[in-house]
Amino acid sequence: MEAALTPPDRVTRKKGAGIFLSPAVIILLIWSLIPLVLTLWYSFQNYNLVDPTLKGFAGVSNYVYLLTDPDFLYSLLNTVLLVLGVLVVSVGGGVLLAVLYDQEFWGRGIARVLVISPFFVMPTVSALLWKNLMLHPIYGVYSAFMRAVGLQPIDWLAQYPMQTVMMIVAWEWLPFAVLILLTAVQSLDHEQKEAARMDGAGPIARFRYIILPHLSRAITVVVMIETIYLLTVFAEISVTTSGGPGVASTNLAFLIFSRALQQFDIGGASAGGVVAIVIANIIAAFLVRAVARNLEA
Amino acid sequence: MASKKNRLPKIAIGFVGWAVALWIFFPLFWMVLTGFKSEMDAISTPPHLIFHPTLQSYHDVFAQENYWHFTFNTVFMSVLATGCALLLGVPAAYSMAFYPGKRTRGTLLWMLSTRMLPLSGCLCRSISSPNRRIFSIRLSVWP
Repeated sequence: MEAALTPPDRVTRKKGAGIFLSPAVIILLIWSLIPLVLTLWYSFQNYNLVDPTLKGFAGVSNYVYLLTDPDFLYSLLNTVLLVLGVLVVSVGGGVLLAVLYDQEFWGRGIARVLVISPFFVMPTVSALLWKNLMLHPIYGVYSAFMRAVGLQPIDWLAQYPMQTVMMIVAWEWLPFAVLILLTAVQSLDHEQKEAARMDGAGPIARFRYIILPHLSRAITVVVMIETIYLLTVFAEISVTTSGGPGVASTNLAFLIFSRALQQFDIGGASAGGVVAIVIANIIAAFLVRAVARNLEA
Repeated sequence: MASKKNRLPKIAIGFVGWAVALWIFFPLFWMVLTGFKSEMDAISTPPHLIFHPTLQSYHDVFAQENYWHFTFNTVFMSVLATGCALLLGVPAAYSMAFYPGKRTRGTLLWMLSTRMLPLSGCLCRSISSPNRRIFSIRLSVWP
């Protein structure tokens, strides 16, 4: 009976699907294509906000200037380091903490809320919080701890700018990983764990062969969402180091920002934007393929 | 026998769990604490845990800036953007999830990639904010 109904039914449903889908696609097209076309157009122009006499077609000079600039390679490297470093910390720590907070202990509910709380703080606020209250070499709390045990306080943001920014961003994103992974751990069938325990599997074997495979789906989701946000980290860098000292903590997003709004070189910034779009699309292609395979398997 | 054997690991797990939770939460606790400090206490060396609490900072914030104006802007923007994204995203997610076609995967890839480009590169930053919600809705409806 079902089979007999299928063909006409299917056709009308397909049409309905198109009607539902098209507003989102059309608006997203307009929303993303106009900036893209404008960016492409500007990237081939001589266009500097502080020099109106400099005009006209620039050819590929903006691109040549960008790609031969050592700052560009450095910021590319920083972008990759930031994404990978924060992913390793937040996913690795997230898995361990998810298993930890799945255990029964006194006040577990409150402890979970405390761990997840940093996720609800605005990036600007958490960057300022770490910069001024925690890591400040003179009146920061961590400096006071270091002095208390006889160590010399370190000016973290000046001496280890990239590592410190990574730490701040990891602090913001670890709660997100814990949140997603904890719900995944909780969805694991209790009898399965119990059966493994009765068969003599120790805690490490249970973690390795039962919990980790069960989490793989949630981990890919966390990796995908975090990568999307981490590729464009901006507020934390802008607030704490402004990309410095020099370009030590400049990532691609900040480099483009400084080209456009600090050096007023719209043409050069647009070339940077186009290169960033190409890189983002390459990463997106790999990521979505891997994630889609994992989710549908 | 079992209960005595199990008690010690349980206490250890509780201890570790609370230690990690307090360590992660500590900066936020300190921020709240600093909010009640006077300007001198806030930058004292070494930092004080015990001090004379004052509401001066809260008074200053509301007196110097039009705080509610900024709050309203934030709430207004996020509600409007989420509303628009839901309006567009829910039907799209519904049709993609239940009636996937040949190009669904490609469309999805493209929707995701629009979220990844550094928005400062587009010089039209604010425009793209609804996209992120479309994407997250899509994820949540994935069968």
